[in-house]
Amino acid sequence: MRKVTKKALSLVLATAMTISMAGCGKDETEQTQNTPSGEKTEQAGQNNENFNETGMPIVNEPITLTVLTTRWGNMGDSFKNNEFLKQLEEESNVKIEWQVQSLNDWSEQKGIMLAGGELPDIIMGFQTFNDADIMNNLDLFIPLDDLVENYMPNYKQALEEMPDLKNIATFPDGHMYSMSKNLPLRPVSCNQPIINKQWLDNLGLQEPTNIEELYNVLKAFKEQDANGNGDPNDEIPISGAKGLSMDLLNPFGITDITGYKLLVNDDGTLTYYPTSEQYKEGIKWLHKLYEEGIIDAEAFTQDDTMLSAKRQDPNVSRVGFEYAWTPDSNFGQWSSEYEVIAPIKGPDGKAYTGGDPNGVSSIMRNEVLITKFCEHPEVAARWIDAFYTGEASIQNFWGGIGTVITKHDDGTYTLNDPPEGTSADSWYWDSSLRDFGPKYISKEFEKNVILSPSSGDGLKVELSKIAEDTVTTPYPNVMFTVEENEERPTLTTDIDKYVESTRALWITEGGIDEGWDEYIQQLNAMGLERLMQIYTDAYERYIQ
Amino acid sequence: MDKCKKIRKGNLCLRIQRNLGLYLMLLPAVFLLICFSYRPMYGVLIAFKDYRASEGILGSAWAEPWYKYFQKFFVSYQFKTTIINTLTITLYSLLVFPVPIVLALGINQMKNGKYKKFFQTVTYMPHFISTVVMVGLLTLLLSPGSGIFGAICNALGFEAPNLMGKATAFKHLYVWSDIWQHAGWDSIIYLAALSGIDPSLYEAATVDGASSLQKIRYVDIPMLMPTAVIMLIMRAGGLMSLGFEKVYLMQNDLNISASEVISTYVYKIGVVNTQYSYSAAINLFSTIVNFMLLILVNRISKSVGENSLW
Amino acid sequence: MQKKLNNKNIVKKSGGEKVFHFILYLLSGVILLIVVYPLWFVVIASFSDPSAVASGKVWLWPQGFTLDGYRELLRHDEIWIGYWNTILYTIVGTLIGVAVNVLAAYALSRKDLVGRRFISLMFIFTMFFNGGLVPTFLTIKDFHLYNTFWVMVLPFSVSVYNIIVARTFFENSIPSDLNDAAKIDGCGNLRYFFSIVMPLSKAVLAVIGLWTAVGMWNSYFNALVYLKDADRYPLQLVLRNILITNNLQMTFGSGEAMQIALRLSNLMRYSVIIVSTLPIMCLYPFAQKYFNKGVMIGAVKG
Repeated sequence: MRKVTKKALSLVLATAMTISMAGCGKDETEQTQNTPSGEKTEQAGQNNENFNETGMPIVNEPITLTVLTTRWGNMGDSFKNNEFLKQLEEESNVKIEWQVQSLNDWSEQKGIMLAGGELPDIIMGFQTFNDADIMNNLDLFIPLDDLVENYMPNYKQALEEMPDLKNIATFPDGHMYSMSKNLPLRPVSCNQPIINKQWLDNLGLQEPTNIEELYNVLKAFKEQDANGNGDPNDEIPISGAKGLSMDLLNPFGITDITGYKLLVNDDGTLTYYPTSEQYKEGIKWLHKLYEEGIIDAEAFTQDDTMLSAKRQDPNVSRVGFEYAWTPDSNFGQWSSEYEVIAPIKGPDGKAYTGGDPNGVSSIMRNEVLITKFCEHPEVAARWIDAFYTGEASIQNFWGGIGTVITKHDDGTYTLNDPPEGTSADSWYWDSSLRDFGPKYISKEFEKNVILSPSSGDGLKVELSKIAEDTVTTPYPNVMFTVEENEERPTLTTDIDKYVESTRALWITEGGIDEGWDEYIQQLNAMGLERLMQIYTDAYERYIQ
Repeated sequence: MDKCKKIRKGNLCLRIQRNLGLYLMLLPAVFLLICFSYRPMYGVLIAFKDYRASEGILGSAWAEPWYKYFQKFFVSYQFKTTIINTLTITLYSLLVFPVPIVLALGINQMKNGKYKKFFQTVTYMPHFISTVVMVGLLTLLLSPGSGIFGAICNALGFEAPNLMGKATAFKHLYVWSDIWQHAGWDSIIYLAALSGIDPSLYEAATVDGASSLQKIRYVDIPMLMPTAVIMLIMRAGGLMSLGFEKVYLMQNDLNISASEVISTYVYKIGVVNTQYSYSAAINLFSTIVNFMLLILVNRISKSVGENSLW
Repeated sequence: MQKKLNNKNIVKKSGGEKVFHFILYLLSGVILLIVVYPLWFVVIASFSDPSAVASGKVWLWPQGFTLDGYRELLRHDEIWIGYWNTILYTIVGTLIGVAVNVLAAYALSRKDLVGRRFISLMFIFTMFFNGGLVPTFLTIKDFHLYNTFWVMVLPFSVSVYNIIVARTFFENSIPSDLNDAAKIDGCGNLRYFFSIVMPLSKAVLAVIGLWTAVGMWNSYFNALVYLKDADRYPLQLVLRNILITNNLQMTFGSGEAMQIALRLSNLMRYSVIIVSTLPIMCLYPFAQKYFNKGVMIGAVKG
């Protein structure tokens, strides 16, 4: 009995040792094996017969490229059926193997992908890899300057017509590692004030134009039966989820579409708004509103679901006023009661709106990258270049010609109505890459795209006009250096949290005047000056 | 002298030989641990390096100085707060540690078989509800405007406080909602231990005239002690590690002074910019503290009783 | 005399006993109501209109009764693939997990094991220190386990926590007299384990089996990292992808699509729980059978 055990044991041990040894020795040497330059010149030589430098097809014998793109939540990969993509595949002979990742748990998977020693040929979507990811792993991606120069006439022209596309995509070492996009027909204003017109009518009130009038209207909403159901107490003039939107401080001159909490002054300097006098005034005003019950007492503790339930209460409309993109995004069945009004004037008699005079989020970098693992970078470059025409871009933003877009004989394009039961936005997301991937639409071409002004994207363009002259200059999409990217998160995590928690305290309980000096001191102790230095440096680099 | 050594050595060899069957039983676990826990262990080094994904862990440069990221954490504004908050909650959880035990003891006393089974089943089920839903439910119930809590307060004549917004209430809400959800499930192990008690012990106790309460005190509890103590020791080894998800969901601007813990802090640092080395350093620091706590508690337990982890 | 004493004792006992049991059942009733409430809520919420749920209108009964939560969820065919995968992973994973961990636990429970302290420490060390996600990922790749069936059931099957709990059981529930008796009879370690210890350890096997099965059933993170093909995904990962879990992304998706997705997610979040946990919740009653008293009767005489 024991002899058998002994033999079995030694046999198993021996096998175990050999197997675990087999795993050793491979570890990370795999990563250093890929040398791009050597492979490229070799392949380039071989490719010359197959590859066509101009015209279609791009390659004579089919080649497959792997493309990685990320998408929001559970949006799936139905965009692959987009007519443009299919047509391109046929014409170019370049077959695409799509890898679609949900952004849900992307941060963990991203790390593994970068460390795993192998990336697909092409990366699409600005949410896939951000500046820091690229800069920290620069040798995984190839510089694109030569490829653009030699093989991408469309993109080259785009860069000449819109130099910003190149400016924002130039990395600290002077090269372009990613390509940018420019979205068509973007609105100039971001979030705008939206009020329940039905309630105003019910109470016989005029639309408010400044903060005093707004205060009176909101007070009336709170005290009277604005929604007409017989109960004067169920109206919530202003609400929020886990905090209040800082858009409420727009009348005070505070606008922030980037989230950096920076205001760009006329003289080119930057102000960190949480330390400004306007902020102090604004918070005092909000405290007044909170004390009088105009702001939902649960605005800081309830979650999105509960807020959404109040906005879309099955029986009656309950929320009176908020800042949003369009009236129909948040209120469900009550959407028709709400209306965009002109920006509210603040204590200085002027109104301000967050937005971008060039169109909100109209230009973005890191939309396409070519990795060093791509064996046919010229093929990839030419394939990507096909996206940079006007017609290609609109098909990749809304959907293919034939299903989503109709091309008319006079050269104009219009959007069709979405199928029954689907919202326009969802339909566009299903039919195209939408926000992600390469696109360029020149100002000329834009004129040919006719959007309906009463729904979807066209509606927002219409609504945005009322606030256009009050839009402030936003902090640009700067690129930070590697060192700055290391310092920033620690600074912002501490500072942002402190700002937000003091804000919550001052709005609910007041005391901003008394606590102000200590607050500033504390912020400086946390490194606010250093943070502002980083922002200023990056801004100055951008301007040049 | 030589003869003694030979005998001792011989004894050792003999003992090992007798244990061969046991070693065989250990083999699968040991093999798996070597391959999948020890082999990747070099990853611990990330905390001491300036990790760049493309260079790999071994290829990345060493941090200047090697304790750079640890220092970053120690001097950071959050150091004290996160540690205090984390320990407050974990120590509090430790205090309510006996609840599942009491529950098991109670269940064990139930004579009505059907009711006993029903009770057991119902109390363990909430364990399966996801954290997201549980916190959502909690927020809803405690809402002064929409929840049961608010309704009860109003009925009693006073205005309901917004408990989710009170920093002082945070730890109570966290710990007691945990008990609410998990006590049933946690009691299973104690029930299993109780089922292993020799019934003749109970018979002897009955003969001696012991009441149910006395039986619990003199039979059940001593028999549960080994299991309970081991569980307690292992809990002590988790004092610095508070899970991230539930705290993150319960956090808001009003209670942040009590709800920012180590794991949520690490998460926020890592989200904006994947700072692997920094978050690895913080995690390593917590782990080392945990391990030292474990050794300490284990030593205490060994000297007090016979139970120890090794 | 004795008889009289006995009668007195019995009378005294039943008085006190009755009170004890009365309080026990009363308290347990209260606890039952408190603990069952979240369960009840999840069930009725899964049949209710999500706005009613979120505005606190749902307390005891469904409001705005609707089957949409289930209908929407079951539209996704990948759920069935997920179910099948999870059942496979759970069965195989539990068998492997219990075998690996219980064997090791028994070996470590024997005081005569040479090197016992060292080996125990070696196990416990891995509970605290591990290399992290990236090195583990690379290791899995090196062993060619990436995107295979086995990665879900084999590499992470060792649970030191379970080993310690099981070890405690073995140390305290199996009297050493049994071992001595067996040795005298010439029984080897392995045979002793399988033919004598195992039948007496039904309770601990049930608990470890239950914990392992539940762990496997609920796991999604390993699948997220180590599986590439969607048709290998376990149920929890499929469901997680259907619900939008990360609220940080909400701020970017300014369009209607995100609002609609949020609404759907709210609609389904309760039916998801019912659909995904009902099977595993039914497992416990089976394990419960083994928590019977008197398992040890007759094992040790005298």
